[in-house]
Amino acid sequence: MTDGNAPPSPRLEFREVDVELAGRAVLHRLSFSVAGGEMLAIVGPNGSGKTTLLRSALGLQKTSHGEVRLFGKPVDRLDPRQRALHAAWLPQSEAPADNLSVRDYVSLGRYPHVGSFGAENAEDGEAVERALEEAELTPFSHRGVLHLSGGERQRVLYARALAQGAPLLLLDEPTSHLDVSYQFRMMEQLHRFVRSSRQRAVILSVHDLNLACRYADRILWLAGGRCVALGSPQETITEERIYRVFGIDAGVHREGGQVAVFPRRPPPALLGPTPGSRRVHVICGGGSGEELLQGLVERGHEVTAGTLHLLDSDQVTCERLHIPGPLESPFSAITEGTRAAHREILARSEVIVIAPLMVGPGNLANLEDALPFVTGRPTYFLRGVPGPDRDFTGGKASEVCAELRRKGAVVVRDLAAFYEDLVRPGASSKPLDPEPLGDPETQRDPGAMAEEAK
Amino acid sequence: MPGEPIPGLPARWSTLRTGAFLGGLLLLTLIFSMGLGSVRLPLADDISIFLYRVTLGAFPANACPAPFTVAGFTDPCSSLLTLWDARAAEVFLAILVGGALSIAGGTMQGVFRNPLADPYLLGISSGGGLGAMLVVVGRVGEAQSDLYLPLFAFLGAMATALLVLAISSRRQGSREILLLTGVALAALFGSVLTLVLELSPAYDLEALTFWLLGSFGAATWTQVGICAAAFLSGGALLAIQGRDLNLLQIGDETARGLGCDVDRVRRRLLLLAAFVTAVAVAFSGIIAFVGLVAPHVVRRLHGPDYRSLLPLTALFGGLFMLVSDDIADSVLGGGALLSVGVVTAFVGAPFFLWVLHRSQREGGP
Repeated sequence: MTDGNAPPSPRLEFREVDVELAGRAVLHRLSFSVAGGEMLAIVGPNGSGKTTLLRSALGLQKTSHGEVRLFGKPVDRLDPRQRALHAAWLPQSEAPADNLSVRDYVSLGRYPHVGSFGAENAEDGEAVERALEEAELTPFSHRGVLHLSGGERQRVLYARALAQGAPLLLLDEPTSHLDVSYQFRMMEQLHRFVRSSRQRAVILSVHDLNLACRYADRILWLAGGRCVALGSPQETITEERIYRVFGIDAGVHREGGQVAVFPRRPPPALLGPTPGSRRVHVICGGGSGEELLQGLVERGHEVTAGTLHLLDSDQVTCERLHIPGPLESPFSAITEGTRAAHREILARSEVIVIAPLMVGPGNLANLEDALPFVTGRPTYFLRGVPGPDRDFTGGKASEVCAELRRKGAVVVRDLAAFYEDLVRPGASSKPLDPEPLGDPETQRDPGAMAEEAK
Repeated sequence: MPGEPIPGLPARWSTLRTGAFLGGLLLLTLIFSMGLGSVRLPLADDISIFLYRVTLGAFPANACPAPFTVAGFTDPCSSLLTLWDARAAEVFLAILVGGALSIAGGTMQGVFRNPLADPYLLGISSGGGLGAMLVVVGRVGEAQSDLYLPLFAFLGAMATALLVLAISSRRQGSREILLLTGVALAALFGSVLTLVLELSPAYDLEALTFWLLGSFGAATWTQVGICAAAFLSGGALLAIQGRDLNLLQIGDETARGLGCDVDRVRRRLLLLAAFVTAVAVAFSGIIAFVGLVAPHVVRRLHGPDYRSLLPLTALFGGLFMLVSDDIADSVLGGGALLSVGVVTAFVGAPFFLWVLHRSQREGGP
């Protein structure tokens, strides 16, 4: 260890480390280092190598290439007891064979100080008491470890790691069995632990990205044994990365220097077909379809989208939800080739919805494309027909919309009504009467319309 | 919170209190057992001779019970004392052997994380017996057989222990393999021992039952001394390593993480256990099941912490062996002696089945 004035050497350093388990490469050319005063979170899916990384950090796992250095020294050249004085390891779980009391169990953390033949002194006793207190286990200290809940047992392991008194903590999913309150209390303690001395550092693997975001100084993203990103939560947490590493669709919210992650429902492409799902084509743009697209996907419908311009906010939503649809370059008019593609998609759809979008010369073609397909398909204007407030084409859009109305398109007031109508058995994809009944200018209840269609 | 029942653990006295209780019980049994030799003494005489011997003849002034005469002895008093001394050697050897086998059994259960481990069931006693047999049959150093017997027994026990350890570490986690290996080795060594003995001129039925079932009938004070030295040194070394054994119970990986050189500690503990087993076997033959029963009883009585478990197990094992020997000496009556191993097996084998059943049901050690 270095003394106070000199900047401390990295607490832990991986240099191009490979690890193989049973002939399978588990870690691949992993290089990183952890400085004093830092908390590093390791995130990655199951089997990505998090536990192996922590085990190699302590020399419990032999590396097949590269070097692991603990406090500047190669870890495999440190005597096991020296190693345990430098770094404490909290395993994911443990199966104790005997029902030791909590206090006796925690006092095993003093083993590196006491050794095989030594006797525990007052300092050891104090360290154990302090650790029991930190982990809020003092009232449990006489209980048998086999009679504890999963969360309590995890706190016992945590207390043992604290009792070890090592400056580096290697924690393998320390919060996985804890309730929300204990998760935060443990993370707060660890935060204070690393901040209290430049000698100290914490490396932990977590599944809860929000805990990692909130407390870690840096996050190491592990996928298939490789480090795919390493940096601050602000830098490294993106929707794309979460999707690439975990294969899940999650939103990332940034506010006041903090980052929060919230998962969304997985896209139907990953879930497989849902009974009663419809092929719904959505004509949208400029964010008008965002809520609708999300809602349709969550309800298990097979969704397609009308032509969208790249980087349009609805186009981003479609990409995130894996919704197919023709694409056009930003700010350019829709070309004939794209329109052909759009018509092909329209032909395969069962239901058409027109989101409350602004219509300009750039996207008028979308509405025109729909004209021949309204006949035979339930077609809806969501929240009204584009009026002068949404028509930026000098009236052309209003004409097309009137034509659509004549061919049978109806208006739905809100999303709830639309979703309900979509799965109503009467509102099937049976061809509608080509000429709409009644006055096309009046808004009608889509359910009633479906009745009339019979 | 001594004395207060602890949720999840057996109600518990302090280690000292449990130790004093067991020690007191052992002392009482010891005095009582003295009167159960080939010459039966009334309890009052037994106690007065005991005090006479313990105080080196200072009290009471005349240990010889006045009305008591032993037929056929010209000098009843000194003959009585001679007989009493021989019985004392027997009693002390029983206690020491019981303690040694029990502390070895407790250690082996911890080393292998296997509740069914025991010097006999792992074949280590039989390995030791076979080693000792070589001294008997080969007439190695006949004059100092009391030294050569334990030495060769240790070599045999150590070789067996290392073999068992190698097998258990190759087949990680398989308790059944470990046990079956031990039982097979015990049977193999037992048959080899029998064969060697039968082919040798030293063979007689008594020698065979001595080696296969155990007895303290031929105990000498030299043997008691050697056994005491081995037990006190080896046993004490084991007893102070309770922390290592506790550490092994939470798993090799964690123990390594805490700086324990697991393989070395395991080897060291096992060889020490083999050592105390070997000395016991060298002077008393192969006595089964004591090393299995004693640690489990103490665990129920006082909890699983090896730091207190090992010393208490030694005390309880001594007591258990002594009572078994007393029963063996008295059960048939009319001077006929039963081998002590018959009694320990009679108690121990059902106990073994109970532990086996329980650990199978719980699916863990």
